[in-house]
Amino acid sequence: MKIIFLSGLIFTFGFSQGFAENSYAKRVRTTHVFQNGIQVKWEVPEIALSSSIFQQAKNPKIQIRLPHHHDDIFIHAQTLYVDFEREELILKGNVVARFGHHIVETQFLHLEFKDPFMRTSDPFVFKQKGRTFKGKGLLVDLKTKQVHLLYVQNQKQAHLVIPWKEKT
Amino acid sequence: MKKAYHYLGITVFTMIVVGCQRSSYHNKSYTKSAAQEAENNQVKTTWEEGKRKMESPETFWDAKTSFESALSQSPLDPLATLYIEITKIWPILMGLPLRLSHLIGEEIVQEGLEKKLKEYEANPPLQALVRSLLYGGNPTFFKSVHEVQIFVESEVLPALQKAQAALAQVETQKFLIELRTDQWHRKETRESKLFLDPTDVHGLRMYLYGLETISHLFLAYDLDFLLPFRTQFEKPESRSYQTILSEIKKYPSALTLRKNGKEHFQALLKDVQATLEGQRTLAKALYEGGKREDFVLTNPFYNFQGFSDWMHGLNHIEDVIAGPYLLKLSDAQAVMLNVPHLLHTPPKDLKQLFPTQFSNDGQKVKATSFPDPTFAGLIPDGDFIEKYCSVPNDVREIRLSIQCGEGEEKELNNDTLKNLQEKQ
Repeated sequence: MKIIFLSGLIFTFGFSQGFAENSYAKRVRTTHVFQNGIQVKWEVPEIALSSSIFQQAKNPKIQIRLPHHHDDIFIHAQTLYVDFEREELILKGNVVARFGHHIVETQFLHLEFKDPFMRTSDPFVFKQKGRTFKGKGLLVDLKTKQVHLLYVQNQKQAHLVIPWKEKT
Repeated sequence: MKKAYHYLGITVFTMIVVGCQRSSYHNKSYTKSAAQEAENNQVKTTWEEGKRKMESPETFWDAKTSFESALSQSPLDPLATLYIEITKIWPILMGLPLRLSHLIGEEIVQEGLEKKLKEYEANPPLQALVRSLLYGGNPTFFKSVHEVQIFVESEVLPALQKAQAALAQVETQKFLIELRTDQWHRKETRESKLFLDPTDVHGLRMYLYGLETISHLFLAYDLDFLLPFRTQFEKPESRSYQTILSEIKKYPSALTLRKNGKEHFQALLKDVQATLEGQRTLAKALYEGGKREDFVLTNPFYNFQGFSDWMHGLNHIEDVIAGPYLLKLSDAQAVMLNVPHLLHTPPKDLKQLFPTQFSNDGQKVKATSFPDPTFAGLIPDGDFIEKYCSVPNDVREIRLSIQCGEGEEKELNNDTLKNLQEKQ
């Protein structure tokens, strides 16, 4: 019985290893450096559509390295859309972006690298140590390191500016 | 020994079970593949027949039955879906320039159509097809902008949306189809091919989305006042902000939100990525197509500068739709724009935002005369006019016809420069 159990264990382990290797092999890793030196790495299980101008992929994990900046930006979402020509990334579906002490949760995020901005016109939740803001419309200015939050207060639009707090 | 028999028994049993499964699998697949092969061959024949017919303008419409039959067997076939969806939109757009001639101007339209048709004289089958697109279809003329809006809302928009949904399913497949396009040129061509892949289908879908975006913008507000304006402001010297805005105010329904106007604006925010890309694809396709001699439509961009300006403006529009936008007024001043808020809750009457006072010649708007400093929520801080006027005219990134003070615009002097530097 021990032999059966042992062979079963080896088989299961081998199978899971093979499966893991197989799925690992399927993940595509890409690094792209945009014109102003912003380096973006993305890892995706499969690229859905690809041309020299754009790329569309599912379940991406993204790391963005800004020049002369300590903190990287980490993002994951359901769909990634890369426009190489316009130097833009668009992320859709359960987007979570982490940068410094901040976390942004939204359904749509637009990243522009020519004039570096990260923004959404969708409802968002912005979290930083001990504080949570909910609103509609957020802009992170990657050049001035400022976070602009738009929300409604007393039936009027309000605009709040928060400095980007780095971790290091 | 007993244990050895035990394991041997298990092994033999396992082999029998696996063997049975394999043999049953093979038998099943064999019988299935024979029937399937015959079926596949039939589908392939009708598909190839459709493709052949589609490659010639003479038999283009005959391809419909072949592709319909191919689609009944293989519902998501890329080429058949593409053909069927395009031919569904085609009849709706037939004769559209002619139907619009009462609004655009009969002479201009007639002249344009005749000129366009003459360009295809060297290829009679293609000319016949272009003729059917320009002159065929519904012969009723549109009498007002409102009628065009109803037509776009009830016929064009649903067709565009259906076609996009079908193409979205096609573009997830992997395929590469070679199409001959020799007979689709205005002049005789030796050999011409088109390789169709999912990226092309995606491009086409984005093109349709671009059209849908424009349709949504066109459908949001009441534009019936435009027709009398065509003749009223024909001469440039008759145009000034004061005269145009006061004329619009004479039409109570002008620029009021239509019944489904809010929904049309909100549709632009439903899929921002598609809205952005759709606009760019549309503009690029029109420009690239316009450069080619055999392009079927009229080129809206006469030169590269025109196209470049259009794309530049479009990029700004696209940027502001994507989210809050920091509009730079100078190196030291910027205002926050929130266009998505305006699209979510559009004002019911745009006339309410019109300024009320003008300069003596009517060409400039007085800065103090805007009734709502937030411009219906577009400027959440309501500080646009204040910041715009604080920037000297010489260093302004954008210049508008706004009169800040009673007299001339502020000139750049040492004091204002010093103030700006201190602010920085």
